[in-house]
Amino acid sequence: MTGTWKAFTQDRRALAEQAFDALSTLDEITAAMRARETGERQVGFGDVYAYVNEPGRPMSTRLREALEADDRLRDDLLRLLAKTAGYRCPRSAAAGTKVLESRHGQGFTIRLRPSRAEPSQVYVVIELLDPAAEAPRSLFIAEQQDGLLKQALPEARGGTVQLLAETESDLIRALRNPRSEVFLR
Amino acid sequence: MTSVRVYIATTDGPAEVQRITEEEPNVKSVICLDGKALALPISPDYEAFVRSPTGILERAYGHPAYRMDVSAAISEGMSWQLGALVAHALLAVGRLAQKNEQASQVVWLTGEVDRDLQILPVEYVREKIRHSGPLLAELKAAKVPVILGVPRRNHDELDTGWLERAGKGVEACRIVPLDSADQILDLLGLAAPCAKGPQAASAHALPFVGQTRPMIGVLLGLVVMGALLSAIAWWGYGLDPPVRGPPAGRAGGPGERKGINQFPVAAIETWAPRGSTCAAVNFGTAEAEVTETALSEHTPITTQGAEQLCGLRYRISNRGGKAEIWIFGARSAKGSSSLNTKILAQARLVDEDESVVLDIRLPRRLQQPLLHRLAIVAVRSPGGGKGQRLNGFITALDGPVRPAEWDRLLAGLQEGSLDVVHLTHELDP
Repeated sequence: MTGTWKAFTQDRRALAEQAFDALSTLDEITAAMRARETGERQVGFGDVYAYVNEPGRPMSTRLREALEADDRLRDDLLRLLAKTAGYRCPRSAAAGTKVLESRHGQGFTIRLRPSRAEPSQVYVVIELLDPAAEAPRSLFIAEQQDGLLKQALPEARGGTVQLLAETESDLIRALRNPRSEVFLR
Repeated sequence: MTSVRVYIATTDGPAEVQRITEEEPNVKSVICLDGKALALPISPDYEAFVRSPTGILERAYGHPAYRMDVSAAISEGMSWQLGALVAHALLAVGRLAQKNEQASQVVWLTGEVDRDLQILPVEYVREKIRHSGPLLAELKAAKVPVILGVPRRNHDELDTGWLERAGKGVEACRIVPLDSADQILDLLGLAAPCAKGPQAASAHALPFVGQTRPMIGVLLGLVVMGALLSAIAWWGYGLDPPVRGPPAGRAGGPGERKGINQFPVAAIETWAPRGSTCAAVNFGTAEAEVTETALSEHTPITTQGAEQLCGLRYRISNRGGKAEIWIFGARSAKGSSSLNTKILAQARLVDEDESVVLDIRLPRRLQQPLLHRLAIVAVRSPGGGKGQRLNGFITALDGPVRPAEWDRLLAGLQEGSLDVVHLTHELDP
């Protein structure tokens, strides 16, 4: 699916994004109507869309609860990620118990390198094979049972994005999990 | 071997360099806050400062990726570069005082460094000094010597009067005007960064790759600001800008001149005319009589009736080549066993045939003979450990010294290939 998105021309991508915008607007309108009827606002596709599209936007408690309660909404989110992510790294084919120290996807590699200065910290080095390609702004990691993790990314330099994290953080644990799926967008 | 702590000056206060660690080569260099997994936004600039071909640190120290931890955030700009460079130079010889380690010397630095290690001016130096007041006061109380290294142009723009008013602790610090990073490295007894190629046996054995900077005749600039400011208050002098004088008759070229021949010193004394007073001279109702006496290096000159003196200035002329000149002074009662020394001029670039004039504030009442000791130190070429030797001299003058010690220290400077002229002028009531 990511391949399909990549195959889109710039115009088709723009059209697709407009369609998402329209859908999310419609969703917000209907959600607002439902909210007026029921007295509370429903979490809808608009929330999912905003969460995926805005790098600095965290996952709200309401969205988290909705994703946990509504498999369809979670599927929508993953489908949206799969369609719009510039880079995607599927679950490891040799998924086992062994943790991963690097992830490879089409056009990119993620390496985890321990800090010599602080052994409790790890560098996450994302290397884009095409340094001229548009750099991702967010990293998403989907795990089967533990939901979705999102990390805003610093600016890429020379085709490399690097961030530093605690070894015991959810980010590193999820990246090392061979059963997780990684999206960059 | 002394451990040196490095502070990078920021407008929010000084940031201590807590640690520098070599990271894996395929990791980008980062500056982190206090050991946390938090790379500061300036990290990409640090990476560019480290890694070849843009960076200078990999060229100098042979490794392409470092992590530097600092105690406080450094948000923007390039003024951290000088502190980073010096910290790396100290690290290379195992002299960087890391977090919680004792340091016998502190350097506080601000300045941008270009590829030729020239120091470029930066902004907000005054604010940076102001925000470092508590730290400097603390170091002063702990008797830890501090060197503040600032780009020369910034130094020239600093208002010493403001420093005096602003600075709790500042008066205990030396401010070093810098043209090149070599100067502060030399001052700390460090070699200048060198190329480190695959065949290099020693990091400091090769000349700097691509070195194009002119080896200007300036070794270092040092100011003992405390001494300077105290001198203003205690000795009271004004320093005129260098003035070009008429060429003097010469016996030979600059290279042949030694001692007083290359720095003739004149005492210019202002007297009230007979039957008048200094007050009348000062108010312009009487015309002063001015006498000029050449001081001798070996024979003390005595001014008799000095209680009648209205004014005194010393003119030091440079009859050698262009030089960076330092003038140290001591005033004491004749026969005193202790001298309080002051720096009267620091790192003044003086061209050949230019003069430096020191206006001396005289005591209100001169009841006993006074001795003025002047030591003129000229640096005509960098290198050879001259900066370190001069630094040692200045450090030794931090407190009162005995006259014999003063003479011994000056002799040590002469042995260090520095041009030194030492004069004594006695004022008898």
